[in-house]
Amino acid sequence: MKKVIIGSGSAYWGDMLEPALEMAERSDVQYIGFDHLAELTMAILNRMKAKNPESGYIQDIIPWMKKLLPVTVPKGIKMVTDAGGANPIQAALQVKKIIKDLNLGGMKIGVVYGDDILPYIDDIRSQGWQFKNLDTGEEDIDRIRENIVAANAYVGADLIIEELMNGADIVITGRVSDNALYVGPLMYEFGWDYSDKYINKIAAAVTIGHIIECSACVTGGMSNMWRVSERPWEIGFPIAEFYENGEAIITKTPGSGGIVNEWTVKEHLLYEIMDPTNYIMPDGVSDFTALQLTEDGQNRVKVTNMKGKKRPDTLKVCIGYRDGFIGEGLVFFPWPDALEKAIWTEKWIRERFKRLGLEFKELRIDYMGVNMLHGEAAPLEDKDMNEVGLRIAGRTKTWEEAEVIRREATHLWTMGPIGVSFGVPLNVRPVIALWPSLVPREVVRPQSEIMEVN
Amino acid sequence: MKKVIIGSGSAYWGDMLEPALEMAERSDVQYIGFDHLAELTMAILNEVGIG
Repeated sequence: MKKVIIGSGSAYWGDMLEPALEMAERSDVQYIGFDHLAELTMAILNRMKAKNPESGYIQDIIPWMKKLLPVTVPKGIKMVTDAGGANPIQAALQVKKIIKDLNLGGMKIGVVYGDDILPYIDDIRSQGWQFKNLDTGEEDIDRIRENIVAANAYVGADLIIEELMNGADIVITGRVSDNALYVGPLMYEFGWDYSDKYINKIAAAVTIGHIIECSACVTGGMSNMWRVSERPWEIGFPIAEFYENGEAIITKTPGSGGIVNEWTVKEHLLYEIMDPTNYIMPDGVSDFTALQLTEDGQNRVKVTNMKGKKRPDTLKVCIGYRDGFIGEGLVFFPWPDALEKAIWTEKWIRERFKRLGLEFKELRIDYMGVNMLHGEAAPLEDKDMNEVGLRIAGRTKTWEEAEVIRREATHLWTMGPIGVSFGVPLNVRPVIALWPSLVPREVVRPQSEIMEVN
Repeated sequence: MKKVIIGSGSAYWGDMLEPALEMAERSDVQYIGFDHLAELTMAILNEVGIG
């Protein structure tokens, strides 16, 4: 039976390079997917592009491709990467230059873009589409419209498939769904289309994409298996062997560290999902409750009986908007009476802010080591702790107000209770807030092309 | 006997302004000293000049 072997080479902007390189060197993958884009990365990249029209892509693509291409090209491994960000064409031009500099011969780069709906978001809005906020339920974007800095739709695999059909050796995209980086090559290889005939097959591809797309998160990263993960500092990235019948094996680079077992796969199935019976991606909807997992030897898990539904009529869109500034400060207290000192200091800083007449959109004061992660669920019980930290973070309308927060927190380094220790100086930074929404699929205008390297 | 009244208005770059101001307003100090320089502040200030 035909199978396709596909691996994950990156899960975020700044992920490790060498597990991807080791995968290319040591395994028999045919495809490697690379994701670099989180919810607000497109806003950051758009701002970079606004300053310099030749930037706006993930610049890691340059050192990454310099290392990877000399390995992938001789082995015929194809790479699909969303490092194009807000400027896939420029990213492709950079990769083209690398291919020429390294004398790797003739190649085709598929370039996918057009996920940016900001240029025509007002047209869509004026036709009655309101861009309701999926998190807060706020009905329309009118309140934030003038502060919007990015609006990118999560496009599906359609044009990745098209460019693979056009012979692309590498596909560089903008904001496609992370998942589409994996679904695209699988649909292309097996010749599936979006007709009803392939609904469960595509759901299987969506599921497998979900399992591997966060790189080390299914091979021992962020796992309950952390104690038994082998040489986690040499962690291997995940590989899926996907069979034409819609079944798959999840494994990792041979000889690498980390662990893949039924547990790590289950953990990752539950990661970043809402309704497990409806995992909605632009290419299809998966029902994670139908599938079965069986261990198939060491670091191998078989996934069968994957099912789902047809792809949705809407695409997710992440709108990033300017929402003030954050000012932040840290201060630490030693034994004895560390928690009491922190409580005293919270009162001190709140009184200071009152005295200075500071206004906040939001103010958070957390006791590090006590309730920073658990919030109100953690009781303020004095356990005679060795040390406690205080984090003061406020969001304000203006940079100047946020700077006051930062500055007041630094005063505590000398004006706090006895033994108080310096924290880390933190710069004021602008807040880009996320407004997740949906957009009708048919109004988004994705495009693609082949860039030839001779 | 002659006495001199002197206050401290700053201990570091970024210290509070209003205690210094209140000292000037409300006390009878004749002098106020202001320190803003830590061990590496001079290096930073030199760098700013170059930058």
